[in-house]
Amino acid sequence: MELLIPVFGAVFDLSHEAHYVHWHFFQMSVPNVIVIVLMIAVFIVAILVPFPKRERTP
Amino acid sequence: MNEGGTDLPPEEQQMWTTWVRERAVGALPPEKLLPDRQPSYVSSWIYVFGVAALASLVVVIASGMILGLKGPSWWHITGIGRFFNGIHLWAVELFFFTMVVHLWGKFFMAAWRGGRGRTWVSGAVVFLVAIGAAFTGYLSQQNFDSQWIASEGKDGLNSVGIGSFFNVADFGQMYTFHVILLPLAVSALIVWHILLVRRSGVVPPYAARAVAAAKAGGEGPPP
Repeated sequence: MELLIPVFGAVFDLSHEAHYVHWHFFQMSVPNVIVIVLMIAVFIVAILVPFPKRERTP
Repeated sequence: MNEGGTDLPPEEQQMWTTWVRERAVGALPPEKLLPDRQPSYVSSWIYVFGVAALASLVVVIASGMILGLKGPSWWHITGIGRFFNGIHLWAVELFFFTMVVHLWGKFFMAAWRGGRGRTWVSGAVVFLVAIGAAFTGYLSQQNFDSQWIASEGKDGLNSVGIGSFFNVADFGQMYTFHVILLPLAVSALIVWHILLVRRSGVVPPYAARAVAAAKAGGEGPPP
């Protein structure tokens, strides 16, 4: 695990200011955009994926 | 006369404890408060997200209690303190994430139908109060980030005239809001929300309601 930390740090380097999406009046940091897109994706999956049914025992 | 209280002596019927008990048991009898079965339409991922939000809140409160006991120098400097700081932050992220998915789902289910307006409103108000709790949390970090948020936030709040009694630059006031007042408000609202769900039941889907109405009218289900 100690060896993996620098690898994760290189891939997910958060030690800098966030990038921003800027389009007309709309301005939002990329991390916030990612979270909102993830929420929408998870919401769609939650609607579409059938809930597992438990088999009824007599 | 209180329902079910006619067999009590008159002096006991006038006691406030009797009144409260009978009102509470009347509104939420034990089989309704802790049911052992639910309608089939409760099998939905949307309710899993509601429960996930509740579980996240438990982690938020537990990690927040540890942070509050140890203090800012602990959560900024020590390794274990930064770990619990991270747990607190990510539990909050998960709380909002799952709460918003639950909120969206209930919006599109029109969960206020059938006299469930208070259930919907209490859930929506939890979301709004939780934003205040998160905001005061960012102000309580005791670092440059919290100073920046306070210096930006004070202008916005002063412009709407509430800066004199809600001073974002006052750490003591913001910390009190964050660790006592707003967590109590969020917790109380969630308890009320869950009790309302138990009392009114989960809103049936549109199709199930149409089938139930057709059956009640003596007709077969619609094609």
